[in-house]
Amino acid sequence: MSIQRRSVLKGMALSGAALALSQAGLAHAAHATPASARKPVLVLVSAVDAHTDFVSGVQANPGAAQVTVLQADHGFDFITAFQQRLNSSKGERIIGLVDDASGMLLLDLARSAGARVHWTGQHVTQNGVSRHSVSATENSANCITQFAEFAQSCSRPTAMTEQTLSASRHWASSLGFALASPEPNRRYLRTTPPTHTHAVDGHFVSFSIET
Amino acid sequence: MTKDNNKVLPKGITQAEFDKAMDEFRTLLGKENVLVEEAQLKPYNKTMMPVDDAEHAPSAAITATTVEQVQGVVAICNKYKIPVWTISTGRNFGYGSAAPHQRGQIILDLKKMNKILHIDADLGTALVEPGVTYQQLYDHLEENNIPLMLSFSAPSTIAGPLGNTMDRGVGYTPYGEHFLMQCGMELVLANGEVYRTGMGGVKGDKAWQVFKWGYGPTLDGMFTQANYGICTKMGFWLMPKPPVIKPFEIQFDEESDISDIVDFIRPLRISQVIPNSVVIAGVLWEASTAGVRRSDYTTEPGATSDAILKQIQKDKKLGAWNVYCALYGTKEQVEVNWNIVTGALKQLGKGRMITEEEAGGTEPFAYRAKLMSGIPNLREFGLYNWRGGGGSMWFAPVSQAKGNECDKQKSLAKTILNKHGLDYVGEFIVGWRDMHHVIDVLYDRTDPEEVKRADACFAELLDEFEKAGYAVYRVNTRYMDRVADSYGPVKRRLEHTLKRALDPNNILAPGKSGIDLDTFKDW
Repeated sequence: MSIQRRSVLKGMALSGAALALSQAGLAHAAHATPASARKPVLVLVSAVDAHTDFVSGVQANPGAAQVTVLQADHGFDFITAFQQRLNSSKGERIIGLVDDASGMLLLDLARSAGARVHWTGQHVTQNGVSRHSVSATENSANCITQFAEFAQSCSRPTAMTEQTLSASRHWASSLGFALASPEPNRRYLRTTPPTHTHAVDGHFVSFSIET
Repeated sequence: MTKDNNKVLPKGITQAEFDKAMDEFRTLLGKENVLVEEAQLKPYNKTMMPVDDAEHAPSAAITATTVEQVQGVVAICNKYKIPVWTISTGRNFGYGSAAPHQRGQIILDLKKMNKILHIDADLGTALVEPGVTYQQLYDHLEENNIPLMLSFSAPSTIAGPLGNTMDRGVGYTPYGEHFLMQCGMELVLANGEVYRTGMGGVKGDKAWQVFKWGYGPTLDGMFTQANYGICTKMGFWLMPKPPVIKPFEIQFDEESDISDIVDFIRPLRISQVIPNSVVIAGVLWEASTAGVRRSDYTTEPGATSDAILKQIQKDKKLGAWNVYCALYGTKEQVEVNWNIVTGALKQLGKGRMITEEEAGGTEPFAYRAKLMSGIPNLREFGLYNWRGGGGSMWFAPVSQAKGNECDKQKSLAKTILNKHGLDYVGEFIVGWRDMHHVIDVLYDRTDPEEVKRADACFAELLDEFEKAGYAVYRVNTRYMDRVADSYGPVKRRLEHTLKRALDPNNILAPGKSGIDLDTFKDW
């Protein structure tokens, strides 16, 4: 998979700079979910190594069709265009794994736009281990279970909607898989996120937004 | 009746009462302006403080679009004794963000009251509603070729003048002391009456935005950082855009230079040779806004070593202190003042002058120049990428603009922060005679142990600074009550006497700046 890294926008509308991913990776999953349940999803990632794994997890989810990936940053151009998109779209699913600064801004813009936020997470990987402070609405609480189930060496969740977890450095694809489903509380029994993933270092913010 | 089951209720309110109130809000505001679903409220509940967000969870968020609706909201809140936490744009990052002071308070979000009501290009005045952002105002000035410029805080693009001024925020231009530039407020009081400060109560008057004082007691300041009314309009002054703006930076290599820097800048600032709110920024502040992350240099836990700070300084061509100033005026005026500044620097015998041309568009100079020139940007959010993990609290003590005072504050703050394994990420903003010493206490909220340390660190900062005779001018919602104590019991009793007189049901933002009739006992 190749995701073109480029500064999104430069006068372009946000959607104009989108990079639609190949659907080939989804072929095996198409039988598992009816087409009506598969909705387009916009995926925002920062220019960091984690994004490849996160997106591969999104792709592996049978419910995620028409995955569009954009590179996010906290620069004026991107933030302004994102704000316009939030204000003009309805029913769009936006998930992401971005840097802290971008995450802070994107989530607050979602608030101003009156969007629904189903999930927020802070993720830090350092010295070979990762920590995850995640928060989900009750309707999306199963995302936490799914994430913990697939993330390597992840601690077991003890709460439904607010949780701090620890895991190995291999977690980003599990997060992408967990957040990608249009039906957050649905369990996928036949498919799993890719297991041969890169180790991820750094700190990130994740989210699931519905306009 | 609709049942609203967000699982969070205002203190002392039953579900049935809450449901009735929500129905009345829906009738008043329309159902789309009454948010009670968990997913709608979640973004209002994201804080950066060392406590669970649940402690600051709202029970609902409502949006009003007119002053009459705000009056209606106040009436319903009084009827059911529901406390309401008002936000304008809600971008109070590091001070509590958009979340209410106490769990269960409803949020009155005034983002939809976003009209620029009036700009007078000749007088340089503006009158705006709470939801107007600096970017909106900037675009309006640009699109209409109005030769005025803005002063704003660093989250400029998305923040707004009314909220920032009500919280007594500062900017970086000659108009950087924002409350000083405020002129005329409209407020909805807890009894539903609409009060206008200054000349605003005079029928047919046109001087509301030009003469602050009106007649008799002048009450504007009483409503800032307070909970005595809901501000629905604010007037303020805008600076005429000068023909020349010359931003520049002076870098100093040693941390111990702070004393000399302040004593060098003060006379230039007081005499208005350098007219803007000068910034003296530490190396980590500048490094993180230039895109440096702590993990680029170390993954060791604890405070970043001085050796690493020096390395960053060297790698990124930064000073231990980076002083940002600008000159404004005609070419001739700027030239005269430039000669005075460069002459004074020569006399000081240290410091490296960097002009805009020499900086060549590099960061952080570029965003600093924009802030001093009234051009909105978001660059300073890079601070949150320094350590990561989503924790941030502003510790903002004030001091005299004297070198020894600033040196003392910096050393005290750094010692306490480092003791708790955190970094000194700070800057001084030079008022005329005061310094806002602004420190971002950054920490990792995914690490429960670090969260505890950050909390203990902040408490110690407040305690130790108070012992040394300093207090902060603004603080996040977790520490408001504690900081109110620093200012003494007489002030607290007076503030609560006013609260009891103006808002006996304690419905307006209880807890703001420590003012809360339910918890205050020290009558």
